[in-house]
Amino acid sequence: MRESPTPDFLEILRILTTHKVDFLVVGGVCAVLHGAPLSTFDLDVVHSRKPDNVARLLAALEALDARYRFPTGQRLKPGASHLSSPGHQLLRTRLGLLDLLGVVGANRPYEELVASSVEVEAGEGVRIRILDLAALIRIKEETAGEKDRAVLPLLRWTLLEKLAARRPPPEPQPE
Amino acid sequence: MAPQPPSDSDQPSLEAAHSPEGVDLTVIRWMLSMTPAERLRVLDRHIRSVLRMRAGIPDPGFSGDPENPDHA
Repeated sequence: MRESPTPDFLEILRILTTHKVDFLVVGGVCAVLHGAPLSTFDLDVVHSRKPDNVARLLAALEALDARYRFPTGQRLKPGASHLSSPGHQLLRTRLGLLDLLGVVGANRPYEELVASSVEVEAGEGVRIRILDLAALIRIKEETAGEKDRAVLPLLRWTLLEKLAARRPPPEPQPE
Repeated sequence: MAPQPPSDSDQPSLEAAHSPEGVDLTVIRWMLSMTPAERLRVLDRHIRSVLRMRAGIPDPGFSGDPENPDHA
């Protein structure tokens, strides 16, 4: 099986934003950006499947030299019809593994999820939208795969700690 | 069992090092003390570290100091 390059998530995100692709980061990288201490080797993205966005995404994928991940090493590029579908496109790029998801959870597309997203600076001025943490937990609950269930306690406690950190300290009591 | 939303009465338990199901809360608090960009850099370093270990190469880039993850 072909070895993957060491991932450079920031550079992949930069290329997507440079090409003005409408997308949301979900999955492990999203969880990390929210503060969950977990690790992942791929970048999961939900993209808008509107034709003009698919065209921009195809240009970004060309810049990333994206190909499908086939164990046989077969080199096949994703096309507009693949990116317009609700399916998951599991790609290998020159900057690491990139999963393009047409829908996630209970068949939720980009247009629905964007209402539950926040903008963050991922580094070096690269601003991206990521699913908010409560929505990410809901998606993982809907997906209910073994891998997703395993990270749920970590995500729920990250959310609780975030909420606890936002609470004002208790008022001092008069002596 | 899923953790319940925090209330005033369970504040002391949130200061615990672990959740009842064994989640290390100290690492979560450490991650929350950073900006998103810093968290992404931590992930990058972790991946590089794992890949180096897999290849049997010593990792000179990560100090192992959670207080100062950016500097060896």
